[in-house]
Amino acid sequence: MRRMSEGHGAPGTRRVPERARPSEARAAAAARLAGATANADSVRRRMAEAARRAEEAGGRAPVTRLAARRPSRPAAPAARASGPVPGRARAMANPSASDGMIGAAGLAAVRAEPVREEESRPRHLKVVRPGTLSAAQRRRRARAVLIASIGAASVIAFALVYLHVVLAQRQFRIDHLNSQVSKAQTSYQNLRLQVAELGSPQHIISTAEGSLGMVQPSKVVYLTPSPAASTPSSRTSTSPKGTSSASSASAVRPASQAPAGDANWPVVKSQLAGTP
Amino acid sequence: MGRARAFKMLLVVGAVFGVICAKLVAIQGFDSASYLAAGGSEWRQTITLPGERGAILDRHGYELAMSVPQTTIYADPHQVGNAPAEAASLAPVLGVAATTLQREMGENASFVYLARTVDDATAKKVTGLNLAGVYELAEPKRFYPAGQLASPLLGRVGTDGTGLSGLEYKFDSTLAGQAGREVEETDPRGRQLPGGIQSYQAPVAGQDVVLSIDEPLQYQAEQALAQALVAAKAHRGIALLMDTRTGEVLADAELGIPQGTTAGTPAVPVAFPAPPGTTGPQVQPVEEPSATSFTDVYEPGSVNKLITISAALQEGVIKPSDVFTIPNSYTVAGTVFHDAEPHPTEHWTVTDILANSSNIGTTEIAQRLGKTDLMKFIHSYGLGSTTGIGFPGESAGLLPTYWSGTSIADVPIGQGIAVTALQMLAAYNTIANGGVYVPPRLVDATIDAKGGEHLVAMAPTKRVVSSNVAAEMTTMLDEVVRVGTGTAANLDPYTVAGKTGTALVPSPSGGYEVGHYVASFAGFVPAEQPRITGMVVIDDTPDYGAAASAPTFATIARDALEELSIPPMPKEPPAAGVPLATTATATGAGEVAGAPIPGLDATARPADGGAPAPAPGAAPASGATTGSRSSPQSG
Repeated sequence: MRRMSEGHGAPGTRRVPERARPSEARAAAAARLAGATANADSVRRRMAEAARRAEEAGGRAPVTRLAARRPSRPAAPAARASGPVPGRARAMANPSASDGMIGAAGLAAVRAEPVREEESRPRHLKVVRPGTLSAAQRRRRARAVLIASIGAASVIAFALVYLHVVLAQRQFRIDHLNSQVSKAQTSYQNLRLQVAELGSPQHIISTAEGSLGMVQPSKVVYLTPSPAASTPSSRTSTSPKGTSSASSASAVRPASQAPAGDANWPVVKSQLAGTP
Repeated sequence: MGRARAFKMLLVVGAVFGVICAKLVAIQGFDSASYLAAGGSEWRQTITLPGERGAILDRHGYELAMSVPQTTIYADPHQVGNAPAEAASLAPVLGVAATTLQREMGENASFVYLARTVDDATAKKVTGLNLAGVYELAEPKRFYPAGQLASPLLGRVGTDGTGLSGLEYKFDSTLAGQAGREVEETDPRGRQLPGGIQSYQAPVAGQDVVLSIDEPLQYQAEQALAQALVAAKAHRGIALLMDTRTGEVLADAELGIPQGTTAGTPAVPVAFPAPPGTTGPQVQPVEEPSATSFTDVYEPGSVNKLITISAALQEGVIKPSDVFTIPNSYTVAGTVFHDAEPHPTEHWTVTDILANSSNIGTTEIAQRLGKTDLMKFIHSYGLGSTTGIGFPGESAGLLPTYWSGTSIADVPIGQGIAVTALQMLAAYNTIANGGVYVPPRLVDATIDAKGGEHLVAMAPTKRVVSSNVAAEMTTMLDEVVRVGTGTAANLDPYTVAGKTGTALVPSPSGGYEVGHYVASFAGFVPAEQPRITGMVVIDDTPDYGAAASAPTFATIARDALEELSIPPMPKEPPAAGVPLATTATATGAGEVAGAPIPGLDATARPADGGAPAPAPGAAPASGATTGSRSSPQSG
């Protein structure tokens, strides 16, 4: 076991002792193979690492080529550890063997083993990168992603529905406000028209004459202040309230009848009687 | 055989499949745009948003014309369920015959008007009926708050809101707004889908047009003119008022007595006593269909003497104090001319000639002036060309293209030429402005949709005669009103300067119609500092201008002076070198210096000149009654 550990611990450099007998050599090889099988995973990792290094170095590693051609196979059972060991498997276990580092006894043992059956079975080995998930893990992850996606889609769908509902509500609100604006503008224009009609001269005249009983003057008398009324002293006769008193009114005469003197003054005075 | 048949079937199936694929490519590829458009039209609707038409305002901002949205009722016959029943329901509401509605609702169309621009109450009733296939839409309708007031000037718009005549037509592009556009997605019932607005272009309201017209003055002018037409038994008339300083037209009344069955609704109903000899209800003058003061021409008659005499003064061929011998008749190129009234041989100054409106005296002055200078000043005063006011169809007037031997006697007294009332008003306004011609204007400003006011620039003025000549003419025109033919326009204590005119009405068959006159008066007030220039034309009246137009001018001027708060001005002495008219010779000489027609003396002014008034309804004597060809015109 110690040798196996050593052999496994120093890959590709261990030699078979020259004085060992063939039977012992086979036993030793079998023991090495058994040890290699037990550590198949670590061997594969090392092989992959060696292949990567070879690729990085620019060369092509035969072991890598071999591993690439063959599918991976499950680890050998523990009972096989003492049984015949396929030469190829050994070669795989010790990559340096392919470089001619294997002894003659080992080669004979490898040649003596039938390999057709082994090679006809499907190989499922492949080089995988570190951190690659297993199928179960992938299924679990896919299931989680699916559930999350469905949830997200549901949330988005509900959000869209809510958005459309809000949109519709806002649209109805806008329509309502637009309608109100339109009605207000129409109302304003109607009121403006109404004001214009009520303020037109026809309406004012007809209302004054028809409803209020007012009449248009049949005679226009122009009054101009006399020279005396325009003097400062005559202005003092104005009443404190600013309205013309009787004395100040007497200073006004109808200009159109001025040549007639004061004879027409009663006519004018009668028209002034009602004024404050 | 089996394989061959299968192969043929495969070929057939392949061919059919290929055709389908080709059609698919055609639909989805080459013709996709048209199919998209056809599909989109089913649920996409393009709405034209009308731009509100601007208002027409008077100088104070009162609306003379404005647009208000109204409701139009229309139907989609394809969606009408029971046309007879719906028509029967709509008929009493819309005031349209049910058969008419049923016929329209049965048309093979998607859109038919049932009633356009109905009022809100009617629209509400229609909405309450809730009829299938009957819809409403908003359309602007043009309203004129003052009724027919100034309608010849304002013009009219069509059903679609396009200006057809007058200022509505002239400023159609300014008044009309820019239509907006909205593309929206709708449901089958035409309701807008939420968030369905694809594009929106807001409409732009049209600009308001601010006129120089003063609405109250317009009303008063129409009122006075209506009374004058009834009193003078005239067919139509014009009354124009202008701001002397700016040339702004303050009022433009144009009325006519409806002939036959063409009666309309007057803006200013006249409560006026029927003239003697008439029976039945009083015929109300109504607004003319067009603005004849800008578009129609007439022979001005004696008001044209202002141009002749001022031109002679400007050219220095006469002085106001020059004395002319005025015989009763005067022969020019073998044609005998008379004044309107027979008179003995007079020795009149230029002032007397104008005050008495002597045709013979004016002809003698024109002979001193000569044809060339006369025509030069006629053009300088703006006759023969448009005023630039820009009214649609404005006439440039008619000037003689052939100058005969008698033209020197016809043209100076306003015969043989034709002018618009606005042109003659502008000529008198030139004298009122001290000899400077101020182009008339009708539009003061425009107001855009944002409320910005854009003033219309004034047209350049030009000097026609010197200020001295203008002052001399003003003094002589004062005398016309003080003691001459225009005493009916006296408005004491204001000083009115003006001139009467009377011309015979041309006959359609040639010559003139005896006893039918175009009576006019043009003048300005106060003469000391003119503020208002006016023109009144009474067409086809048996009365002289002195009796028909002068008192109407006085009434309109009185109202304008009150409206504009213009006080009387201190009296000024006459212009230097201008003799006053001789009162003794100013009556019954050149023309009848008549008192106003009964009913037009609303101001009850004293007849200062003491001129005898013609008998009401009596045709004044005409100078055309004697002679082989004499002037039918009188002053």
